[in-house]
Amino acid sequence: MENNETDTLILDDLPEDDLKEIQEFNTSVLDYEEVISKLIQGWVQLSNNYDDYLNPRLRKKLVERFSSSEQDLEYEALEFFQNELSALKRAIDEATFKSDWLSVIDICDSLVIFFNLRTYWEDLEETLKIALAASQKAKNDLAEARVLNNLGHTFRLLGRAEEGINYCQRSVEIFRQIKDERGIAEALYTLGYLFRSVGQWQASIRGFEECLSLFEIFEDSVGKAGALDGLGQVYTKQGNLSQAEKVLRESLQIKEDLGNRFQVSVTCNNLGKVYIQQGNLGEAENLFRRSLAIKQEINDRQGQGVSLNELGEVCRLKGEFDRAMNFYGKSLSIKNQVSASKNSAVSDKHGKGLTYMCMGLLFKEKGDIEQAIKKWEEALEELNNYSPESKQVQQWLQQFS
Amino acid sequence: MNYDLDQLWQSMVKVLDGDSKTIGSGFIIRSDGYIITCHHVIYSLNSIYVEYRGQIHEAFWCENLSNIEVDIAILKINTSNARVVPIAFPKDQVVSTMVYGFPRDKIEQFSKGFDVYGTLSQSPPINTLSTYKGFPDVSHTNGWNRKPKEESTFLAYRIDERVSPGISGGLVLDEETGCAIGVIQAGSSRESYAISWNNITKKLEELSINPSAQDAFSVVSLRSQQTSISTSTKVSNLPSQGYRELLGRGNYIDSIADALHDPYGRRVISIDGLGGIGKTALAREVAEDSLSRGFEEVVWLTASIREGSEQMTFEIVLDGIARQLNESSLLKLEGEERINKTREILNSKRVLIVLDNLETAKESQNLIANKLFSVLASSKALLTSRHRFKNIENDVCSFHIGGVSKETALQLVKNTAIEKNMPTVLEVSEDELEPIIDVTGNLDAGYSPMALKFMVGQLEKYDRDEILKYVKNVRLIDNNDEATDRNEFRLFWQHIFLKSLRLLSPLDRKFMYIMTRMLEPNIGTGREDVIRSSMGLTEEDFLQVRESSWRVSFLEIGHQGLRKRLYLHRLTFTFFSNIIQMTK
Repeated sequence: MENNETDTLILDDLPEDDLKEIQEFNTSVLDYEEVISKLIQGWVQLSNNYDDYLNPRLRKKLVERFSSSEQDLEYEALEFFQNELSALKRAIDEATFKSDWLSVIDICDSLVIFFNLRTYWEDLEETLKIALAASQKAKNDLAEARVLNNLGHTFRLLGRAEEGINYCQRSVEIFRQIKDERGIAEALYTLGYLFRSVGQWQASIRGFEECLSLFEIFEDSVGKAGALDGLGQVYTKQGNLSQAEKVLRESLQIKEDLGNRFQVSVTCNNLGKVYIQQGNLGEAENLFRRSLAIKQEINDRQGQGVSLNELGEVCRLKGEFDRAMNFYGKSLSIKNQVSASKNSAVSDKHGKGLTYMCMGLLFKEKGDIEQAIKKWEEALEELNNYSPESKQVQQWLQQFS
Repeated sequence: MNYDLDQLWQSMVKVLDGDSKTIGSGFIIRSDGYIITCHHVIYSLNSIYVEYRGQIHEAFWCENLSNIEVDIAILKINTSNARVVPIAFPKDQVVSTMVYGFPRDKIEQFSKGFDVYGTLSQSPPINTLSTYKGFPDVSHTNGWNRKPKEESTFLAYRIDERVSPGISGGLVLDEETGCAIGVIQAGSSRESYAISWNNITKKLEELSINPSAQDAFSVVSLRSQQTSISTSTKVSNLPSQGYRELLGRGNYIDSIADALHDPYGRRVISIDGLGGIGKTALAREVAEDSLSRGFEEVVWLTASIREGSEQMTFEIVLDGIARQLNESSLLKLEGEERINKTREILNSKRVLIVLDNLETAKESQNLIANKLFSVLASSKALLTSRHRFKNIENDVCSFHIGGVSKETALQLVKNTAIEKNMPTVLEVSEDELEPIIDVTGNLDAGYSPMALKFMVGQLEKYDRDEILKYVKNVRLIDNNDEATDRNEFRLFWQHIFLKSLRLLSPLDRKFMYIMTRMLEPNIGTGREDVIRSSMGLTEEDFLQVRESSWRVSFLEIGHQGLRKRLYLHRLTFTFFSNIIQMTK
């Protein structure tokens, strides 16, 4: 640190009176360690309360209690974490200093939710690692297994699935040791997606199948539908389209029975992709349109952007290039709005990249390589660096430039 | 129509009882002597007298213009050229205001009124008669000796501050525009109300006063709660404003803003000067103003001084830019790619990047400034540091900030005493204040605003000569020579802080300990409720602690939306950190 001496108000050559004053100050605060602990607890409590506002399922229930809207609750929580971030980090430091590992884990848990929503990946990784160290110090196996699972999930989102697999396998192992069946199921679910990301289809299917059977034992329909979705996506990648259609139809039925509109729209999209591969573009279009309608109904802007892109894909494959371009344009417009809004909890830059990628393909198919390259270059700007799509675009650019 | 707040007292009126004691407040709404106040203030009087600009006038009750049912009385005195307070409607809610009036519990010579910060929120209609609870019936038979009807109500805004009853009839002011947005009605409960102009629009019309027509109206609407959500997203990164008004800095603000907004001017502007001289406040003012002058976003990053906290480097600056601009994809990039992408973003929109307290950065401030040029593109940077920027390869427009002028220093002392309700300090004559002011600087280099605030806190409790004796060998002088001023600087602040430390009660000390240990300097917290409950204090006790620490200037209180934000200035933080360390 340069030129920093003036920052330290070195207290030297003090007369006795002043020294006595300082001693008195320090004596008067001697019994204040207890208050520091209470303050840490205060931050734990507050951050636990506010992270509920960031959980859509809990938030829905809280709306009535607080006579507020979901959007207001979410905004309030985001504002809290943003404004008090430094105080929460100080509380983590102090709790660490006091070896109060449970408080460290608690505050980290809340921050993880916030960083996840804000897509602050570096902070997310750092916070999860602090929580991991704390859970190990506390010898809290359950917390350690949960954090490891969370790390696995985060690394998948970061496009670092290989590292994620290590964390997640340790998570499964610990959950097995402590015989936490639900934990095992959740970690296996994450593991299924991690293996899918690295193209290890069999390992991925094993993960999804094992968690599926556990979710069935718990009669957890939400978990079961999630696992079926995972399986359906892997089967699609494998080209096992009939199996993919079967499990995704099953998932869709469960979600319809549950009445979870958002989840229904997710499976509609997954199923649509199966029909695209089957060449059944009409059915694919129906599903993407249904998905879009739900997303419009529940005002899921990001989701609308995704469905519009898929509809563009259907049109491109049908050779209806103008219609396709129209859908891509609408999709981009929504994705731009989502990413530009500072009040929004999400950003969809990667989604923008996907649309540019599709536009590039369209131009290539029209024989306009120059425009295709331009769009792929734009795609590269937006796509998650670690994603397979980014690598794919780089390959195309090398091939055609 | 900008109203000079320093002159506000020239529009204020004290309402007096038969013994010439102040029982309420009012203010001038028309230059020919029309005054507005609350009806309940005059209800029990047999004759009405007011004090205006030091003179006592008999006031006449304007029956046709007053409305007992909404607690409004219009009075008239014989005067001309009275100084009028402009009035305006807020469109929605005003988030930060001040209340002016004459509280009964303050001493009489406190003639310039008393103000508190408050936040407004819309209230359901208030029963007018509820204000008269405990008022005895009166035997006088004047028109105004009447209570409102049982069912009468008035439209109001609620203020989440308790204000002294004598302040009733005073004004609720939008500090920024200088417009009154209501008449304060002080209740006995924890809340008070601002009587809305909506209750008396017709009466105001008869006086040819139209609150909708005020020039400042549009500015008031900018401060509405609804609007603040959307506008604050652009400025939410700014530190909270811990001062009411930045005195004597107009020229600096203009010059820095001009340099910043000159599209062909230099891309990096630096502010350097001694600690406590007001660099952060200046940068804040300029940054806040920048959004109305072509900048689309402000990124504000403060270098941390706490051991163990993330120290500022160029990479940390890039992280901060990515987060505050909501460009999280930048966080994943590295090296040249990250620099190029950041530059593209800063080229696509005009962003003002403020790096505050750069002297405490981990990397050298000159290195960070140099690297900044590689990403700025069409955006600009404003840097603050105690040290001058040297060996910068590219062009930097530097401003060395000295202290304030002696005249401003005197004004600052008075304003601080008024703001903090310190009548003893207001009694000290300017001649007597001069040697105290001289401790904090000199005519050439100016006087330190922060040191002056501490002096005001000390003057309230200590005899002036005692203070002078304690600081007789120290002077705060910015001689532009960093190598030699360090010892003087340290010695000066050591004396100032240690003297003020003695003014803290044991509980105040505990509070300062918590603030130092648990919060970041200059940032603090907007959740004082967490501190209060962990200290196990009642609300009243906590307010007492907060108030006393603030009065001696160890604690800074800013505003963030509807909340107060408590924080320590970095010098204060350093002092307390050091004394805590001494025992360890």
